Amino acid sequence: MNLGRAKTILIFAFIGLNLFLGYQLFWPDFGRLTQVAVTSEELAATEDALNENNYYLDTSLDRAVQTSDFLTVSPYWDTKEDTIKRFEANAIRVDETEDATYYNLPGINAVAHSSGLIQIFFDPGLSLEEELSDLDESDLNDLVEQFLSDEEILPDGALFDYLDREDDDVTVLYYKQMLEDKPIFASQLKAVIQANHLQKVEIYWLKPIERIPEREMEVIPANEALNNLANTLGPSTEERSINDIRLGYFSGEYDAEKWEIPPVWRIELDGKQHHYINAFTGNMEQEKTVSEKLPDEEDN
Amino acid sequence: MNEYAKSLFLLLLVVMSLFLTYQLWYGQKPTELTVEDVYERVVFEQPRPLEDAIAPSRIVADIDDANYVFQKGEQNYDDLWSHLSSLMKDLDKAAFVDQSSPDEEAVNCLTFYFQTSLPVGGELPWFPETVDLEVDKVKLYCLVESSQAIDNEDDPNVQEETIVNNLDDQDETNEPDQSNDKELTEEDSEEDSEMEDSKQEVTKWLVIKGSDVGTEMSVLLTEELTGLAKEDLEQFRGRLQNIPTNDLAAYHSLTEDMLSEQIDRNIQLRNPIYIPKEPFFINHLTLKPEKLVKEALLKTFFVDYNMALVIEERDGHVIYTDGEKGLRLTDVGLEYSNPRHEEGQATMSYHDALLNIINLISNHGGWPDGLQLKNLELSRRAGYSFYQAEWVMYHEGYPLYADHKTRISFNDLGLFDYTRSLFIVENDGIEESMVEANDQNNVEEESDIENEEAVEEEEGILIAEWNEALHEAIKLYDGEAALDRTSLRLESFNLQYVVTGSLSFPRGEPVWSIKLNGKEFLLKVGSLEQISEEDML
Repeated sequence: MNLGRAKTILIFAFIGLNLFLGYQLFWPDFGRLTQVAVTSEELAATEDALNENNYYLDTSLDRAVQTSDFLTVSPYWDTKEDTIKRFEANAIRVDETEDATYYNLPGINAVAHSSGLIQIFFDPGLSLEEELSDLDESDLNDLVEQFLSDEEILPDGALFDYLDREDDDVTVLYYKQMLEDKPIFASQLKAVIQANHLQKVEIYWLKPIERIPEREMEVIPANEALNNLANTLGPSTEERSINDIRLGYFSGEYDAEKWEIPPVWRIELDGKQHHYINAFTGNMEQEKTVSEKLPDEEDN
Repeated sequence: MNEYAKSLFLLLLVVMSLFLTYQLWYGQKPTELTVEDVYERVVFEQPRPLEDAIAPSRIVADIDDANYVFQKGEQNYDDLWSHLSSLMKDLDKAAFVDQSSPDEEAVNCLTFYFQTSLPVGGELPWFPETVDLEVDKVKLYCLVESSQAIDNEDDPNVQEETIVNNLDDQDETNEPDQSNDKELTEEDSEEDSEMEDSKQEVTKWLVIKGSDVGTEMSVLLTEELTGLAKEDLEQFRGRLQNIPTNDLAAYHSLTEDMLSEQIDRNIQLRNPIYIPKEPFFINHLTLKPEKLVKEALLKTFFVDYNMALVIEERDGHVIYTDGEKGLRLTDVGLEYSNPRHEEGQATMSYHDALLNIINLISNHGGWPDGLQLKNLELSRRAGYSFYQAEWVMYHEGYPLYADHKTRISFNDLGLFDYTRSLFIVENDGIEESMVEANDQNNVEEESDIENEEAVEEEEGILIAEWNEALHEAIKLYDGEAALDRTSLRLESFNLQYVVTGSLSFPRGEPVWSIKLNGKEFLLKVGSLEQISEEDML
């Protein structure tokens, strides 16, 4: 047989073999690219179920199959230590308890919790501009962000998340931490403005240690998260709007060395209320509340 | 095409096919496969049958004016319980048709106390087909008979001479002490010695006391009434009458009179309390914490433990949680909770609850040798009902308590609270200390003090007299603020071990446990130095 022809035959044979092997090996991933997690029928059914409970979907859903993993984090001690150093250098009085250290500075009361949470109370509040209520969301964010950066309070990588006008007088700006393309909702900087003055800043920042690819799994689709939310909250007495649903990481706050946090679907209701649905288990994650009392108040 | 290029391309394809084959064969599984079918039922060990799970908390024998207390971990305990259990399995309702109370002359020679009530009757192994009952106490009554007496049963005078003990009345606090009422004259004693060979203490009656007040069943242990084979009855009686007591510490039952003689306080007794007649030596124990296989344990708590988050605490302990339930693994055990299940009711029967806890502990960590079910109670909290079971480790008849109890709480929804902290005895302190002392002798001279300590360890610790221990406990009680001093109630008084030392060298410290008005005091058996919960592991 002609050697050249034999080579050609073998080349075609091996191309065929490799195509077969590649198909066997990568088909699930190919399939995922074209596969949708939420079909049109399922989406319609979810919307109907939500509407029955007085929830209305005002945003689009990511209908593709998505995977995620766990993220190992620890409190961002560097951020905490940098901030604390500045307090310590200027503190008039320092009180320590088992769970927190309290710093009293001219015009500032600060609390460094052992969990990593830092609370800064401005007393009286800091005037950022004459009339803040006239500013739109973007201008207000620019103003606050500039102030926090100047004061070296804003952690690296912080990104404006949303703004909540609790009433006419109180406005709260939230900043989130990003890890590549996914937000870490558990990390947060919160700036509270009242009567045109910055009254309080809370920083809880996490240090991503590692992602755990061995535990990468397919997450529940967004419509399932919405169904679970409606089931958990129950029917609403008034119309509620679902403004946003996005995948990120979230966990409660732990006074620990390090911990894993799961992927969650964060669902925004009426532009201000957030609920977190575990994207693996479908359970609603509970948020922890933090005492806002200062030591003197606790004594009283 | 150029032949050279063809050859290269072909080679590339061959290499690629090998690579793809390898990946397909050994490579990482696609994402979906890692989460599919992860549920795997893991059982630490097969659940024990009921008869192996429930046993008396203690057995008290009345032999020759002394009481002997047997608890789990002693040969006598196992033998006696095994014999009684077999007998109870063989006795059916026919044996109870003609209930016969013990004769007035009979003495309560053996008592089995059940802190965890023993369910009997119905379909259960013990007293099958009889009425359902939860038994707290099983008493055996003996009558001393001689061949002469047996031959002259109709002659009341002869029979009277052969009676050694009076009938114990059924007041718990005075129960075994009545045996001291023996009033034999010297003449009687001489007669006794003459008749020694022919005298025989015969187990006659079995009396079962239920947990409900007044519930009592009795059976006369004769071949005719019980339907048992003569050999079986003889074997049973033989075992009960031949308890070797040579190396055992004798106890006596504490009475309020004895207390008033020793303590200048009015003290009430709550339960039957047995205290050693004479001080004896007891050793420290060298322990090690129970090691559980983490992965297997996780699988028993979480359907898919890949879903569980891992939280590493600053003290090195690890928490696993799936958002609903949490498992905390510490250096000395585990703590598990599932708060959502707390809001339920326990409607199952006591018998079903028993079977349930056997399954629960067997599935979640296992039931090691020496571990005994201490109690199982139906409790209520905030409008919810639940069963709570507690286990205790025993070593050679003494309970071994760690700081955290081994306890399970559950209801119809399932397990919602579980703590487990068990220590295994590596060897008695005596062996350890002797080896250490010998080794040291080979390398360096020991000081006199060290020698004394070594000798003390070798012999063990001489326990303090019970009255000294009680004095110390009362002193501590009086020193505690906000405790009622108007009346004192002695609720328990036991010898036991508690786990002390360090994580690298845990040891069992022998202590007196004295409970006054609900407040427990732990005192080292020798020095009577108090041990607080903070000292325990």
